[in-house]
Order: sequence, then structure tokens, then C-alpha cells
Amino acid sequence: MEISTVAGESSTSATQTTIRIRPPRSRLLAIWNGATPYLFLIPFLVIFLAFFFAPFVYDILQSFYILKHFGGLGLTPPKVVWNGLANYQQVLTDANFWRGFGRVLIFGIIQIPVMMGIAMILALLIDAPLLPFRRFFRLAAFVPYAVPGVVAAILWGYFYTPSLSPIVQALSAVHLPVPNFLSNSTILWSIGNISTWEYAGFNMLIFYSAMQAIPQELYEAARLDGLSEIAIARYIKIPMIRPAFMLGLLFSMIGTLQLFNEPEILHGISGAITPTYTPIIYAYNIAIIQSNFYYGGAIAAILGIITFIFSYFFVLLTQRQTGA
Amino acid sequence: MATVPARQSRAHQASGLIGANTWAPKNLLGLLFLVIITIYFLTPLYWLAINATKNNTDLFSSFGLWIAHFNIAQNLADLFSHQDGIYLRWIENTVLYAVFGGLASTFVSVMAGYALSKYVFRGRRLVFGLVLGAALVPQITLALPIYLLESKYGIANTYWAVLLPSILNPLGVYLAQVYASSSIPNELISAARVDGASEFRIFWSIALPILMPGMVTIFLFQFVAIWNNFLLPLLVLSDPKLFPVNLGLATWNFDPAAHELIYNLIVTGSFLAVLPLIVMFLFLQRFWRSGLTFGSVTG
Amino acid sequence: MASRPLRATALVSVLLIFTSLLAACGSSSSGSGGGVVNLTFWSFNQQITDQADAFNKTHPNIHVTALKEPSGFGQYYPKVLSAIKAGNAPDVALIEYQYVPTFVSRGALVDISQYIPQSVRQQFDPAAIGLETFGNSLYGLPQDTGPEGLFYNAKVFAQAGITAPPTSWTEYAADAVKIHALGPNYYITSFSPTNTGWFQALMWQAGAIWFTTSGNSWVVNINSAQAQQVAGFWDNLIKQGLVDTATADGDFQSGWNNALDKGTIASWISAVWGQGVVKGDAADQKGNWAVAPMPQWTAGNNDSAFWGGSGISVIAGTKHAKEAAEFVQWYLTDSTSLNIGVQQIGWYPSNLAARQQALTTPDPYFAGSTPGGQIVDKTFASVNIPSGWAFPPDLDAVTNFEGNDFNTAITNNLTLVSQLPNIQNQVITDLQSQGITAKAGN
Repeated sequence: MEISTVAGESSTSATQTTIRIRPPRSRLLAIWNGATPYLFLIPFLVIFLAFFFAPFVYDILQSFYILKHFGGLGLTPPKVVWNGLANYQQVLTDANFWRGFGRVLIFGIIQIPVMMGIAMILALLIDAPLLPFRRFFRLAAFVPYAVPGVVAAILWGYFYTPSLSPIVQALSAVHLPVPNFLSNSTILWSIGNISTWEYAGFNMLIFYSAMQAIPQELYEAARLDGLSEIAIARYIKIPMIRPAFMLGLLFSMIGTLQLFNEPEILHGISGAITPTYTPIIYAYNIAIIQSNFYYGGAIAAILGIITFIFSYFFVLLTQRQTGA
Repeated sequence: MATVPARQSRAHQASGLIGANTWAPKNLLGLLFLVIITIYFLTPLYWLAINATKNNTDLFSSFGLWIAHFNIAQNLADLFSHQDGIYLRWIENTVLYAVFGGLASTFVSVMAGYALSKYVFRGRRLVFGLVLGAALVPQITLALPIYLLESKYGIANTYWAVLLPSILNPLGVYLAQVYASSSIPNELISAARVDGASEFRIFWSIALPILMPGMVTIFLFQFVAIWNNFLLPLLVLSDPKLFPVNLGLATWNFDPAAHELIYNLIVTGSFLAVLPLIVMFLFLQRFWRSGLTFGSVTG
Repeated sequence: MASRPLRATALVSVLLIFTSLLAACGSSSSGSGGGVVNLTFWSFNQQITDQADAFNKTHPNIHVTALKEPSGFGQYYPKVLSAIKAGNAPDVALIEYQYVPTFVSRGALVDISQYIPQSVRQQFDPAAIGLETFGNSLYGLPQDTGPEGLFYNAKVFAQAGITAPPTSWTEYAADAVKIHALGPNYYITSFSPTNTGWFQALMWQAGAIWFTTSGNSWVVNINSAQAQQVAGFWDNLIKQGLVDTATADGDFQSGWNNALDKGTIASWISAVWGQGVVKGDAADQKGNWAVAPMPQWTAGNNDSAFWGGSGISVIAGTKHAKEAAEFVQWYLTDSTSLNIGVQQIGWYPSNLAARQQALTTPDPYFAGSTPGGQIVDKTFASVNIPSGWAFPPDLDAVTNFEGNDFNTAITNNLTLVSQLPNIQNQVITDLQSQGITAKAGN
């Protein structure tokens, strides 16, 4: 697998801060007892086989079948019959699936840049030695990440519910028009707000940590050259933390494609969240609510493949660019 | 790039203080941004704290950002007695899942990461590919087949149903591998071998202590992931006595058949559930930061 | 060298931990000993453990464990179905009538006709027994039924100048205008496009029978003339902004709970079990609410329909169908169990003898039209349920199609009527794709 060599390189390059080259084998310790590394790996591999590989294969196998009745009212137990690739064909032409997918794409195109922008500005402001109380601001931004997604969704749900919302209370107290956070046209951005609130601080911390690891000599040289803090941010910090930025981006993309908790909770307070709202919610509704494990399995498989391809090419692309 | 932020950051801050002109207009703009965004981050939590003290009527009728009748004692009493005190059980369960799942996961991941980093063996590349591939496939899509398989082996609707899948953490293996590569000098291992130490003893008495800070980070990541997990417990648990707290609160939050207004209990319960996490996060933030520099390593 | 044994023990111990772990997990699922049959019972009603305790006391050979399952997220039925597939389903479960055909079509329910003699079946409401019976098979006994009426806040109605509850839908529409005149937040009802079961009951009351069977085929009639009349009636109210279509204010959602409590939503067309919901959600309106028969399409009729209502079924895969059926029969005929059901859970029981008892006590909460309180259940006792309605064998798909299309209609200012043909086509296609025979009725 191509990706493994990429990671293998980086793993050992960590000890030498200078150049990234393919590590010579001698960097790893050759061992005299062939079984030892496998023994260390056994617990992981057992869990991996039981809770990743087996369910993965099971899911794929199921997706080739379908439940069928053979005429009549269907009030007798159905039979499980081989359906070949028909389930996959159906997913590829399923308007509900693609509508949900499109929704998640739009969500990602807007929400991810907003969140990453906030996180980057925060990280730069907190890293630059210009402002007071930076430690406090850093902690405050990170605190929402401690709130479990479900609780965050319940909490923000109260801010969106007109009868409970302090936002609505405040706006109507000064006779301003009250926004409807839960309508069909706004709910996606209400979810986006929850994601941004939860994860902006987390991304900030990724960027900030990377900035902290930039060698001081670079700054000192830049300051001697008379560069302003803004110029330092622009020409040193942002380019230097590019890998960290890409990693945060990858996490966010995977998270967005799997959007589930927040809309599923908000479903309780807004009818605008339909059972086909996001691909995962759709898969959940088909597989669990309608207990059609077969078609649901095909949706999950296709979504998994799309996510994998996305991430794979993303990683490949960033490696190419940094390698060039 | 090496992960030694602690020392560098101190130097960084020290040098940064020199000649900083805090009150330039540009900086004021930055400060304004920080203040506004901090209000955004903290207001919902402030709301949660304030409203945990209200009864149901005040929750709907009083201004959300200020105290009404101080009802916290009654709320707590009701919370701990509602449905035979199941809330405390949920908290216990969550701690059990997150702590034990997190510990087991960390240990398993570090062993695997150490092996990948320090040994040459057949299949190393394959295992590495599997680890990375697994990190990229949406875990959520596996929840359903996991449930079906667990049921087949009779562990659905038990503590194990949530605990065992929580041990799998491909990202943790990857991190452990990075940490081991960057922080354990090969010479140390060679020397220990010359002294006649066994491979397991080397791992246990030499590698683990060095890896400890990295392990804390891996543990924190998995701890949060388990604490956040919603779909898996939703599927594999049917006995409410086994629920983690976020699933329990979610079922309280939307239960059309319950016919009772318990929003005050949900709010108080949410507040209690996040309080220890927030405290823990604030105290352990150092580990997050050192752990998160792996971002600079992946390039 | 000392290292080898140490390494071996360490790794063996790791392996041992894992195997013992798996072994420990496996043992928990089995559990019958000493000749006692263990049964599991799922329901989303409260207080079921009290009933199970009463059963266990009098039945030394059977032990029932009752679990109160959450009903939110639409997760109750999926959980039962996936538990069946997984092989760890409960032996007995509460299943609402609308889900019975869907469950039967999955092979999820056990035919208990051999265990339940005719004499027992005759103790129940025939309309409810009918919803559990398919041909010669009986798939459960009815627990409670959900005939519909009109719950209304008499105080708010009076403020709007309405002296008597509407008896016809025409009057209902006129009253909607008067209530909305009280203020922009005041509505006669909320209308949630995704509240599909509620809307189907409105269809049923009007005689717009969406699903019937004819021989070996389903007849789907979602776009009939009567159906268009009902949908058109609501289109008219929606267009004038007289009903609350805000997504946060749909039935059971927090905005709606609060609006009932504040009195800004002034009435609710709901089933008899709705009295518990109103009392719980609108506690501050005590003494103001009342209940009346549903508004009628034909003057002089007392037509209604079932919304919800539940039976108790034996679930496929049980190893103890006989004992499970014994529990079902006890649960719905024993006086201790029925008392808990009626007094504490709030059943409108299908057991006719128990229903008579339920019809005696006035409820001071519902004193809006009758000082001292109405005997709420009495309003529902003499309704006429139009015959022929059968629930479809793919209820969740129907719910999705209807909810999606009506939601689109409300969002884009289209009419509900315009969506009916598409819903009908999707339902027929879905049934046929499952190999079930279905045709359009018009």
C-alpha cells in the first residue's frame, strides 16, 4: 500500500529534524527472535479482526442480499435472496442518498473553512507575543471540546428552541426580528454552528502546538530582519504548520462525511431533519429503523468507499506537495 | 520535527515578551476578536451553569442568562431519584467505559505502535497499511455489523458490548509508533539487550516510562472518543441500566411516551456530566498540546 | 536465561485475559435453571416492573423481567427488529397496532391463536382484536386503544369568543380564525408535516381509507377524492397561516410542550391517551382543558379513528411461546395488572370489563367545560371507527415518503394535495419491490 511507505518514512524522520529521506533499515532494530513483534501485535490484531475486519466483511456480504416476499400480502416471513450488485446499483441512482451527500458537501464547503479560519486566527493571536491573557483565551477556546457531542447538541438545541432561547429572549426584548434556527432553510447552519463551536478550539490547539514546535531561531532571524508579527505569521508560521493544518482538515472532512450525532439529536426539536438528511442518517434509517440491513449495508459500504477515496487522495496530494 | 514543545514554548514566550507593544490598534482588533470568540465559546456553558439552578417553570419563563429561583438542591435531589436514581448509574457506566476502555486501548495501541516502530518483521508494511486504512474508514458504518456480530456471540447488551470495540484505536497505534520512533533511542534498546534483558522487559521497564507522556495523550483521545460515542451504545445496549450518560440524557431529552416535563433534570444532568470533563481538560491541556504536535511530524 | 520464561508468562497472561474476557461475556446470555422459565418483556410504558412483580409473585415457574425501553428517536421498534435478527429479542413486547403488519411481514411475531381461546378474545374490544388478527392467526392481544377526540383549552377558546367546541370541520376552520386573532402566536393547533400517523388518522376519520386488502393484493388509495378533500382542508388553513407549522412546534417537541403550557396552542386532535400528555405538558393550565368529540365531516355522525394504541405480542425466536402467551393473557386480563395499567399508566383498556371501570372517575384537570372535571374516557366510548382501514406492511417506508413529501410541500409553499399522487406511487413501488402484490385503488 502506497500510504504505508509514506507514513513509514515520517515515522523515523522524527528523530532527525533535517531531511526527510527513506529510512535505512538499520534504523530499525533487527531482532533475533522472530516472534516477538507479532506477540506485541497480537492484542491489537485480535481486536482489529473482531471489531473492524469481521464487521467490515459481514457488512459487505450482507449488501449482496435482499429480503423478498413472493407475491400476496407479504404477511408471511420473507426470504433472504441473493441480489448481486443490485443494491449498489440502487444506491448509485438513489436520489435520497445523493441529496443527503450533496447537503453534507455544501455543509463541508462552508463550515470547514469557517471553522479552520477561526481556529487559525485564534492560534496565531494566541501564539504571537502581543496580547494579554493568552493562556485564558486558549483554555476557553478548548473547553467546548470537552463537551460530548450529544450534550452539545442538546445544549444548543435549547438555544434554538424559541420558547427557551436566550437569543430569542434578548432579541425580542429589544424588538428585533427573531431568527428561526430550526426551519428547513436554516437548520443546516444551526448544525454547522454546533460543529464549529465544538471543534474550532480543538483545531486551534493542533495549529498552536505546531507553531510552538517551530524553532525559535527562525523568529529571531525574522525579527532581526525587521519583519512584523503579521509578516512572521504570513511567511513563517502558516507555511511551517501546513502539515498540521492538512491533518486538521482531514479530521474535519472525515467528521463531516459522518455527520450524525448533532442532526439526530436536533431531529427531536425540528421536523426539518428528515430521515434522509445526511448519508449516515439515511443509512441508519434504512438499516436500523426500517431494519433493511441489506440496502443499509450497501449505503454504508459506498459511503465508506467514498470517505476512503477522499482521504486517500487527500493524503497523497498533501504528501506530493510537501515532498516537491 | 521533534516534539519538545515544553522547553521551546517557555523560551518562545520569554523572548516574545520583549518589545511587545500590547496596545497598538492592530492588537486591539486582535483582542476584540479574542474577546468576542471567547464569549461565543463560553456563553452556552454559562447558560448551562445558570439554568442548572432553575425549576421547569423558570427554565421557560425567566431570562435565560440570569438566575431565577435558586432550585439546584431540588434539581439534584430529583435528578438522583428520577427513575430510581438511574442517572448516577449512567455516570458510573460512562466512567467505566471511558476509563477502562481508554486504558485497555492505550495499552494495546502502545504495544502495537512499539512493535511497528522498533522491529523489522514480515508483514510490517501490511499491518501499517491496515492501521492507516482503518483510521480512514468511518467507524460509524461498522456499528451495525458490530452489533449483529456481538449478538451472535452473546455479548450484545452487556458492558463488553461497548468496552471491547472501544479498545480498537488505529489512530492511537499510529501515534504510539510516531512517539516510539522519535523518543526511544535505539542505542538504549541495544544496550539493554547486551545486558541480557528480555524483549518484554525492555518494553516494560525502558520503553513504557519514556512513552508515558505520549500514552497520556493517546488515552485522552480515546477517552473523549468513548465518552462521545453515541451510535454504538444506542445500537448495542437495550437495558437502560447499561447506558452511558450521553445516551441516557438523549433518551430523556426526547421521549414522547414519557409525558413529563423534566427539562430541568436534563439541564442539570448535562451540567453535572460535563463539569468533571472540563476540569480534567483544563488540567491536562499540556498533554493535548504535546500530543498534537504529531501534526508537525506527519509531513 | 531468565528472560524467556518471563516473556512467555507475560504474553500468555495477555492471551488469558482476552480469552477469559470473551468467555465471561458469553456466559451472561444464558440463564435458565431450576425449572423456572425466564421471560423478558419490553414496553415503553412506565410502571411495567410493578406488573411483572405481581406476575412473578403468583407464578413460581415463570420469571418475567420487564424493561422500560426509551421510545424516542424512533428507536424502539428498530431495536426489537434488530434484536430478533441478532437472536436476543425479548420474549414479549408491546407493539402498537400500526406496526403489527410490518412486524408480521418480517416474520417477527408468533401466532398465539392456539394458546388464546375464543372465550378470552371475547373479553376485548372487537375492533382492537381485529387489528391483531390476520386470517386465522392472532399476533397479540390488545392492551389499549387510541380513539380520537378534540382536546381543547376552554379558557383560551372563551377568550376568543368561542362558546362551544366545533362540531364540524367548517366550524373548526372558523374557530381557527378566531383563535389566531388573539395574537400572532396563538394557533388552534400545530401542524407538523412529519407527524404522519396523526395525519393518517385524520384521513381514516373522513373515510379516506389509504390501505385495504382485496383478496391477495394490497389496495393503496392515498389519492382518493376523500383524501384530497381532507388534505385540501388543511392546505387552506396552512395557506392562511392559521395553524402553527414551525418545525420546533410539532407534536411532542419542546416548543409545542411549552405552547400548550402557555395556552398559545389552544387545542389538540388526539387519541384518548393524549390526556396524559396534556396533563403532563400543560400542568399550568389545570382546570382549563376539556375534551369533545372530533369535528365531523357529516353532521350528526360521531366518526373517529384510531391513533396509536398498543397490543402485547409474543416475539419470534422465543423458546417459550406457551409461557409467553400465558403472560400476555395474564397481563391483559388479571385485575391487578389492569388496575396498574388503568390507574397508573393511563390505559384506555381494550379489555371491556376494565374499560367500564375506567369510565367512572372524573378528572379535575379537565374542568374546562364541566365544573369538577370531566370523565374524559366517556367522550371516546361511543365513537364510530370507519371500517376497512388496514395498516401497511411497510409502515416506516410510508412514514418516510409521506413525511418527506409533505415537508417539501410546506417548505416550498406547495399544497399537500399536490403531493398525494407521488406518495401513492412511491408506496406501491416500494411494496412491489419487496415482492408484495399491490395496486392503486383509483
